Amino acid sequence: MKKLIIFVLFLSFSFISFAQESESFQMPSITLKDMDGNTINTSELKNDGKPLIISFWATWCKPCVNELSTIAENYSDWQDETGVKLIAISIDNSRTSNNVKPFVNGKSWDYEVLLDVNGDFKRAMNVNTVPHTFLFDGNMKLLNQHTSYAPGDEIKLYEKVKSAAVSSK
Amino acid sequence: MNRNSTLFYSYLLQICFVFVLSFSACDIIKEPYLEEGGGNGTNDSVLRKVIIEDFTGHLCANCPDAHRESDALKNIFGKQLIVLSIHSGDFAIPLPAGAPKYTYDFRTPEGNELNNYFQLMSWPNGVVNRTSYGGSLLLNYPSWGAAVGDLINLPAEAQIELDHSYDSTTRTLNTTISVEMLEDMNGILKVCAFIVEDSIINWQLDDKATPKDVQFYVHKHVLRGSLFAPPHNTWGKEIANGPVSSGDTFTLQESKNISANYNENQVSVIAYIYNDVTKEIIQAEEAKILP
Amino acid sequence: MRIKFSLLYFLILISSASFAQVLQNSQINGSFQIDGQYYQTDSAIGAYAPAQDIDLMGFGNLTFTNGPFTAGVRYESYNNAIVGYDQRYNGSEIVHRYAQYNNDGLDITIGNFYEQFGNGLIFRSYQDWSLGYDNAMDGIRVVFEPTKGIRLKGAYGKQRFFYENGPGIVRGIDGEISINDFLSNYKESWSSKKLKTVLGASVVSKYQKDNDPLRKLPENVLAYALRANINYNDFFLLSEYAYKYNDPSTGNGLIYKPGNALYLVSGYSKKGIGLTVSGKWIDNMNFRSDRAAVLNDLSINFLPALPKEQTYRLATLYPYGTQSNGEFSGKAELYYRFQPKTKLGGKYGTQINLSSSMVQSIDTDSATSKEFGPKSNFLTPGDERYFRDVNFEIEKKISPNFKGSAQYIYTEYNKNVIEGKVGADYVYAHINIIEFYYKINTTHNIRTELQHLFTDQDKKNWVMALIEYSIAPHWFITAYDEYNYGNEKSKERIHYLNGNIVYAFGSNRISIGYGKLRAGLLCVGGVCRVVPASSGLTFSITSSF
Repeated sequence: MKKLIIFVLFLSFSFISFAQESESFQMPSITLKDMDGNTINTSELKNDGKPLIISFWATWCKPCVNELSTIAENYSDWQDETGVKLIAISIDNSRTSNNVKPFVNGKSWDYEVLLDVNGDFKRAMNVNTVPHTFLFDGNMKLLNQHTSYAPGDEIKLYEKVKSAAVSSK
Repeated sequence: MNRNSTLFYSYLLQICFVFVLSFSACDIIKEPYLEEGGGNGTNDSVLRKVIIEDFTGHLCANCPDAHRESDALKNIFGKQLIVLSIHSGDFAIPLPAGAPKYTYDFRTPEGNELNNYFQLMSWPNGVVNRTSYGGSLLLNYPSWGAAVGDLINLPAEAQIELDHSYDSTTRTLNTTISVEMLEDMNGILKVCAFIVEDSIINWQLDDKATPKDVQFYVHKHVLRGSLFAPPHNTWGKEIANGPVSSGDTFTLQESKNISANYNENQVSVIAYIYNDVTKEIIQAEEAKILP
Repeated sequence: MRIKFSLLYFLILISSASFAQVLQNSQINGSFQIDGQYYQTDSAIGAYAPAQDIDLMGFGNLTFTNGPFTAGVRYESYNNAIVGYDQRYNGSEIVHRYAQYNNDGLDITIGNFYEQFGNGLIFRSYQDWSLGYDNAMDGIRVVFEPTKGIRLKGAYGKQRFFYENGPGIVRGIDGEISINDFLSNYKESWSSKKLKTVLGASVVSKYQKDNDPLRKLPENVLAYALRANINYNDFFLLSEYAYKYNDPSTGNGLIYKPGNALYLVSGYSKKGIGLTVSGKWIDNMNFRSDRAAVLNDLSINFLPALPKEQTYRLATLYPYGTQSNGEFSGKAELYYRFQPKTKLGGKYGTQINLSSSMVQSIDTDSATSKEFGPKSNFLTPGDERYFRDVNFEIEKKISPNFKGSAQYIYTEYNKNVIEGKVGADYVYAHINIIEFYYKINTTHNIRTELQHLFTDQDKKNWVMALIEYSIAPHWFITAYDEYNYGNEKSKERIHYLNGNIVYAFGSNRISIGYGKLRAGLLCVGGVCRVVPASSGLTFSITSSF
């Protein structure tokens, strides 16, 4: 009986998801804090018609830090050329979340950083592992997701950002 | 939602807040922390006896807490409570021979088998009559009292009598186990019996003692082995498979050599009858081999 | 019971599915993960294949969103749980289901939910797949924002305990006010003030029946916490104090004394520099919804460990796990970046990170009453040291194709206390790590790690080498060898050799590995599980959509 319910559940889900195509992404509504303690609701994340990158990371995640450090080297060029914005969502729990601000400043990153201390936004976005990067176009349509980071990924990501910047116009 | 209704909700929530606060339940217990007296009120001629199997280890610093718990429970429940200390698992492993302490091996094949059967992951831990309490078979010692209390006043479903004849010179023990059913039952019933030695003095780690390494710790009711020879040593012998009626009796005769290393004045036999499907213990009995 | 809830969702779905316009505005997201291991017995490392040879475990999440309405289910399957995971996970079931309505400042969830009050000192319900940890609440949660700057939360329910709910009821309320946001309702200039203050308070109470024939146990146990976060220019101060009334449990040896905790973090940071100093006091803060529970079962609160969370393989050999019955710890941490085109920064800049922490026991008087337990002296360290570390790390990009980092870690590790292994050594370890990245071209890269651990205690010296070849954006090929060359017993001088291939595409990731894995402790945030040695093939698939 239980198996049947699960089966029907999946079936009806796939049926519904079939009906939705090329909609703009409904961002989950989760209340997070930024590094200064200001409250931000994730449903309001956007970049005024320009591409938006949302990157899940943690201070203890080496590939995440590598990815964000690499992008940081060219971030101002990316912004000038495409108007892209990167929002870094730290999934550090309360052991390390209080260290995020000094960490980010210590690295001289220019990203907007939000603290997802209990993983609420992570779960709502169905992120299983970090790094996990989402790219949205100016209309908040989800263009691309990527997990893990290999050096060179940032070049592929920027190519997608550029085409998103063009199509958003 | 407009401003007014927001205000309404805000008031509502504030009221809730005060309400919850005033009820925010907290019981502050003042001394004495211990319950007084107790004892049971049944007048049945045959009482149900309940076994706590305490899985323990000499290197387990918190295990003496469990020992003290079962001691305290014995004070309440008296002879109706039988405790069996089973040294097994990570903390029962002796230190290598030559080490200054903790070299004695308390473990038994039967204890190890039970340890694996009940899938222990932490010690101390226990099983009360091999019966679930609150959905859990393995119980940490704070739950033992409640679990025993749940069972102990139920009417006895069987009666066990132990009749020992022990020869000190040959150290041979002949035991007759007689079981009389007091209720009709149906199922596979088995009887098993363990050899237990009380008051063994040896090292024990005790988090509450100073120093924590206690040299002359009294190890009570330690499982030493089975009255039954393998392959029946851990799970005993089948006495019935199918319906049994109240008044039916079963008799088993076993003999066993008692190791010269044991203090025969402290050795007893714990026998119990259990349902082989549920593994739940129906009745138990304990008797010293010497009067 | 779970069947009934599944049916409820089924009905919700069917009824929602029948409205075409609902369909058009709906969104489905989900994720799944499958982890498996095929075992080989390798008695040399103490790895024994279970009878079933292969273990497979996985989960699937589905989230349905339609405007303010969200519903989700989580299905988990363990057949069986991989060795080292709690074997009480056994079987397959929908373990998590909820419906949520969130609109205009009011957010109501029925079913399962996760929540954290403040830093979690008295309440944190969360899930961590790698730890096998899930203390999800099953009940009702309400979050309400009556006006900008004020947030109130209420949570009520029981906690997940494998496939059931624990016996105790947990209920809590939390209120938080952001002074600046709140006052900006009346005067706009408040939102741009340099001094930002957020105050919060929470109360959590648990209920469990007292059936104990020996003692009078508190059936209702209350804990409260107060917190203040202050930001002023480049300075910040975070603080939280928690207090718990009498709560005898297995964890504290059934003593009646109250518990308390204090957590303080202060820091200074601006572009290129970050400095934090933190301190933490914990006294008798084991807080569970079943007083008999042990291990990681049914914890209501979360006590974060202070020492640095290590990630390099050999540095994880001696991880710190929080001692909930009492610890006093402090930490200082510095991040500094020598900017590019300065003397020490060179062409690309140089990053240095420094941190040091220490954890001591707490000072207690001898117990006047066995039942009450020993009185402790607030903010006074005891004589016994649990842990200490010093970390120094330098990262440098040397050329466009070449960057590296070097790290030195000094660790003191009280194995007796942290692992509960009596007679174990107090370990002093020195760890050196060098890591290089070499870029062959824009997509092909090589990464190497060399690690060495020196200690005279425990299993003595270890060395590890790793090489990883990556081809962006899909492939990672890794091989590493951990070698316990210093072990006193020649039989235990073992090479733990591993190979691993990962293929990542989009939000999917497949990995296959083969080799030997040493025994160890896996800790996340101070919560640990024991990982026994194993040998064989491991595989993992993870996917989000």
